[in-house]
Amino acid sequence: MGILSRLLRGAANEVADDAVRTMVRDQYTENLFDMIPVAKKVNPINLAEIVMRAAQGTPIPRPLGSHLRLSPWEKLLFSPVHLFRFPTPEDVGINTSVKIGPGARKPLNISIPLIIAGMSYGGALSKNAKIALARAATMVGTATNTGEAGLMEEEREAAQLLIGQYNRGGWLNDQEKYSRLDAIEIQLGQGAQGSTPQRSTAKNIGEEYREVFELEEGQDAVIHSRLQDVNTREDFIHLVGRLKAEVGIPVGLKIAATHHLEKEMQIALDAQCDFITVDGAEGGTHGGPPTLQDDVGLPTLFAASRAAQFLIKKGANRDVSLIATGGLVTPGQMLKAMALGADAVYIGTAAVMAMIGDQMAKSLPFEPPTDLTVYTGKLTDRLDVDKSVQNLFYFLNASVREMELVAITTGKVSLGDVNRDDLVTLDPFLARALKIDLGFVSPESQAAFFSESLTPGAFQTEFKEVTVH
Amino acid sequence: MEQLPELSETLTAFHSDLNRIQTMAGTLSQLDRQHYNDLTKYEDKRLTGIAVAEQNSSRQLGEIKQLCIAMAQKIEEIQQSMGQK
Repeated sequence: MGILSRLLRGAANEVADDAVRTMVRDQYTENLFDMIPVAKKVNPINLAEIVMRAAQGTPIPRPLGSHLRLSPWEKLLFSPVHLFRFPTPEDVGINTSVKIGPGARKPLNISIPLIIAGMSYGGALSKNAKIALARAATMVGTATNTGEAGLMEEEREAAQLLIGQYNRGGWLNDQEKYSRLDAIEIQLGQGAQGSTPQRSTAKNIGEEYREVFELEEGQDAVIHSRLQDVNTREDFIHLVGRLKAEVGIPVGLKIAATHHLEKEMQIALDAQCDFITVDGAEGGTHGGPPTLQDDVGLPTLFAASRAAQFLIKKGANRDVSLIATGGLVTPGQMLKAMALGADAVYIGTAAVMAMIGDQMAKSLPFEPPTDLTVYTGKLTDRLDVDKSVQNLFYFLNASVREMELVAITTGKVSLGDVNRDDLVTLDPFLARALKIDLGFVSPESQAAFFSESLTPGAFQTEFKEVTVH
Repeated sequence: MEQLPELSETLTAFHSDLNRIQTMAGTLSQLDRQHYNDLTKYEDKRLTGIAVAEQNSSRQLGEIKQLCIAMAQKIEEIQQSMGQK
């Protein structure tokens, strides 16, 4: 061991000894250790956000959405088959393609059921990041989404299939722009922000951003809580009808998942939307108030399930596509959302993380990896677009392959064929809510188990025995 | 200007071509899937990269096959409705 190393170890030992002595001897109220129970009580994230609010006095823009995992995806499992139904032979190709908006004159056909979510240029991501997302999507034969933005020429050129958001900022709402899209998604809300207004201040808006959004110098980019001229149910129905007549491509609605889901969806059906996107409470964002992220909305799992059941109840599930999104980060979660009834899923945060991949070394340890991709990031010039495209392409390919393997073990030849019957849960309440079997008992015993368990006093005997002892 | 063939004959020709494209896409898709299996055996990074590209091609060819089937069905529907008139 070298002299320097011995000296450092000796110094570290002295410091540690001193810290332990101080911690043991100091009164608790004066003790630095007090931070540990305080941080545990309020949790470190809440603690940091309390002090940020105290320092800034305005709502703090937390990036990438809620850290709370409200959808219990891990409580659902796929059921493999062996003899009763045979697994799919490995030389049989699994169909991964999906038709979005089958009722539209020009439906949107995608090769895989994973679509790049709406993350806007400027409001969220840099130009390089948007181009990389579009190129990777094109490589795998899927679509990417403009987010709430104008039409960026470079994104349109790079994306074979581009879904554009008819948005509350009004930046893509001219026929000249939306007629160049492959699908229109009317954006009325998002999981991480509900239907609240948002603002990008002029200070953070560069020249190219202004051009794409057609803003004056010094003008903020404002997203309103409502779409301009849509103040009644009839206004919305009229808008959808007009867009469908003008363009022929699928016209859909995107909303933040909510307990009013079925009422909202009924209006979308009345308007004859070709697809509906439900963005669960776990949805990401470039930055939004933590309260909107953690305390508003409906978790993606329940939103996807309820939306799918509603479409089936209305007999609309074959004509109206359902896209689920919000916090879906693993191939298992994505396929479970599909098994519950989604035709396809959007991925945002996972796509950005995959795109950055091993390039995160360029930002760490002094800046977060997202600094390479967000519009206001300091390191956007250092994002290698070609490498980003390859990273995301590999991620999408690997994810779909893992989904295909589940299709094989459940004996299916198409990802779209994997359904609720292939799922089982270990939670009785989830079983009832999602209409899937409970893994505790055989399929034949489900009804008996629930009727016995729900009999008044079913758990009473056990309780009495415990109290007697 | 060359005379356009009858619509029903054109549709029949399209139907036949779509069936052929569908078969070709299916065969190529299977071939690419086999390439993926063959190339990943070596556990070589560059070959795996090529294998991933082959797997992706296989999926997109699978989609072309599905699109051809759907279009052929649509043509059959049009032909049937024309026959009924």
